[in-house]
Amino acid sequence: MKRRAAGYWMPISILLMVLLVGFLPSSWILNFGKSQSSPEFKVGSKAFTENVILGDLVKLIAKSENIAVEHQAEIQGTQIVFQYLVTDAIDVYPEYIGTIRYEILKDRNIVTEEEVRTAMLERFNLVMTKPIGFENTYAMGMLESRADELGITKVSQLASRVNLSYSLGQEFVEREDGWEKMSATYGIDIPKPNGNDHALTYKQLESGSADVIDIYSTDSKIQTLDIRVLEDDLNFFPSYDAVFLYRKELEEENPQLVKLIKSFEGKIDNRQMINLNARCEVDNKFEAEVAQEFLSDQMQIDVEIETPSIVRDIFKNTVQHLDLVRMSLIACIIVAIPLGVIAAKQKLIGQAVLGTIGVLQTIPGIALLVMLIAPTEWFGRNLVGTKGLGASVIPVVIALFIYSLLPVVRNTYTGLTMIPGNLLESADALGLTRWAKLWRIELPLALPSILSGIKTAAIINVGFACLGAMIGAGGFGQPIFSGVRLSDTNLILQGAIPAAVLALMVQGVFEIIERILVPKGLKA
Amino acid sequence: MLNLENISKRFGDTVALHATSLTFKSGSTTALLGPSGCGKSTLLRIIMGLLPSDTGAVYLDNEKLTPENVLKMRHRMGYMIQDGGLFPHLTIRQNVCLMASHLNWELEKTSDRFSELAKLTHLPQASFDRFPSELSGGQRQRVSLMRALFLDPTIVLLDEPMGALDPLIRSELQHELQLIFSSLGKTVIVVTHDIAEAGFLASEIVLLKAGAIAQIGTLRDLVKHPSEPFVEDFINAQRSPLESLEITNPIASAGQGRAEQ
Ligand SMILES: Nc1ncnc2c1ncn2[C@@H]1O[C@H](COP(=O)(O)OP(=O)(O)OP(=O)(O)O)[C@@H](O)[C@H]1O
Ligand SMILES: [Mg+2]
Repeated sequence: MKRRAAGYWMPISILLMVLLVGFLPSSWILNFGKSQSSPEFKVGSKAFTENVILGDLVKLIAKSENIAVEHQAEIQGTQIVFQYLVTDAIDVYPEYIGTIRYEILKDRNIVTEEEVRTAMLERFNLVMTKPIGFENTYAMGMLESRADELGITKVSQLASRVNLSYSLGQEFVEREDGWEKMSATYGIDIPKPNGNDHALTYKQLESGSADVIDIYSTDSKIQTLDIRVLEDDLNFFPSYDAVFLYRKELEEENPQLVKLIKSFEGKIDNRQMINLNARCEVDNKFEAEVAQEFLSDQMQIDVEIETPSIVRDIFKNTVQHLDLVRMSLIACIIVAIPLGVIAAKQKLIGQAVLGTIGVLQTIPGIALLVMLIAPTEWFGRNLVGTKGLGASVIPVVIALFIYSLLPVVRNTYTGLTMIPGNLLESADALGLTRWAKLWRIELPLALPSILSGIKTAAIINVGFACLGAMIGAGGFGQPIFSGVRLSDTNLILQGAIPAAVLALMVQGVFEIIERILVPKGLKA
Repeated sequence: MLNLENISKRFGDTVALHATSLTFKSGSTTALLGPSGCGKSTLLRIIMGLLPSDTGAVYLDNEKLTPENVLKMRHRMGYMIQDGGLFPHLTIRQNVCLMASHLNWELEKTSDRFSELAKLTHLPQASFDRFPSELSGGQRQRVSLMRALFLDPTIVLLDEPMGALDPLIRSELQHELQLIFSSLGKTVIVVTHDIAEAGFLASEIVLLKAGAIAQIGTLRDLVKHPSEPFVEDFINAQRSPLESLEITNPIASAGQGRAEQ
């Protein structure tokens, strides 16, 4: 056989193969050939210390009975965790009865604990355990010394003391069932205070510039600052008893796990929970360590935990972050370039495509993530046959993918439409087919523009991938969010610095790629 | 043989080409001459099927050009567009041999054809693997010509193959073109603004004026028996260098001397 010039199917297929392999999550690539031992069950937790400790308690107590439970920690917001639970992406998570009433059921007729329990079972097929024993509600707090001085023990006593100064958290001031309703109920007749950052209110209380602040009733600061929690004598604040919510099916799938979850019923009171929170927030212990201590001291259960290490954390976050960026970027390249080509070739479709992508761009990250969870979980179960896809990195990857489409589609479009007419005429005059013209002439000429679009998308993705931490998918957002929550600057920097370095590296890598791929003739 | 039957083209209100019929005999070289905007490039584009004509049809060896056969027909016609149209992302060799890889030629045949053409156009070997931006204007023109000739077309259309060349190179290339045309025996249509060049390269001249044929004939016919005052003006507008010396104002002479370039 005589030698011929390579056709263009060869490079296309090689490119596609590389892209497809590059798309796989690194855990799949690293575990290739090994037997998969992914945990069967998943516990979720919201992004605050107490909830994470409770999640770790479930994980560790299960571990003591050799049940593998993965803990997807620090998921931002009730909506996402709950979405995970109803789509079966997780099996159990700690919640508060008040939150269930006001944010999930949203039904004024459901009041008592038993009514809530029945409603959850009927509407969502979820079981609500008995209260764990502590209540995390809003409360009014004063420094013990100051309260003593003024002789205040109950909220109702605040009404006659109009000279007291208040410092209230943003959320409490803005909530429907917050300051406004409470001050009306108790007849506290002062101008509506401005909302502050909650960390600031403690500082003001400590320094004496504020007399009364709003607090959470299990806040570790109650212990450390010696705060008196004023009695809610008119029963204004709804019950925020902590419970576990789990899927009904779990009772059949693993009755033993259910028994272990229920063993926490009535086990932790407010004082203990405040103490556990303080162990984390004041003594800087990890939630897992605190949970381990509790199991050992209070329940005589001893479990081993992995000793946390900063280096391993950074490494893990880097791998997770790169995973998010890489997968979303490759999906973006595979989809966005053809879209850009279509947009450039069909003016009408082009406008529609660019418009739609522009609109998608404006959906807020959290909303997009929530919207993606259910379809992803459904897809995983019905088409791939795996459970938990909705709580995996996939929705984040899809969200990142959507956000990164615009620069690549737009640059492909511009790159193609900016090709000088004489070159297109030349290509036509030679008798090239449309495909050959696209592949041999138009795409290579648009390449610099396309590559710079991909570079922009990659850099955007490095930043946006911090979003992953919102749903516990890890990445550099994890230490950032935890750091903000614990006001721990070191932890914030642990995420912020690598993220910045990564953005610079991505920029550098793409400049090298441009240097290699763009033919010399196209460089000015 | 190339036949144009009653072709015409309008762009909105401007008539780029009035209904025109023309025959180009096999092996002949015809020069297409006329002022800027008179429809020369439009005519070539219609022949190549790059632009649909409003009326009439183009026949190549009595076969009508249709949207279905246009790609095949283009392989039988070499077209060098007005400014060369070399692809900046391909090397000289890749530019010239583009169609070979598209049509899946054997590598040996491709490289033989390339060497043959490089010899014909005297393209220096050092430039083969450079990019168009690294070549001189004259070298680029040669490369465009090589590319137009690559598939050994029966018809060769050249749109101002020597625009923007200095007089020395221009004259050198004119001689080479003349040799190439006569040795290859192809049907050639060459667009130019230069009367002398037209006379030198072509046996027949077609002079266009605002989208219509003003006169067809040899250079001698046009000079001796102009069909209308326009033809006479067009020819006289190109003065010889000696004539320019007689004009006293140097600025005017510079301006007028380049008026038709
Ligand atoms: N795509 C187009 N749309 C509108 N008008 C056009 C188009 N192409 C050419 N024309 C017009 O048609 C007329 C003929 O153009 P054409 O390019 O054939 O001129 P030409 O004889 O090649 O001129 P030149 O010597 O400057 O190259 C001009 O008036 C030009 O403005
Ligand atoms: Mg022209």
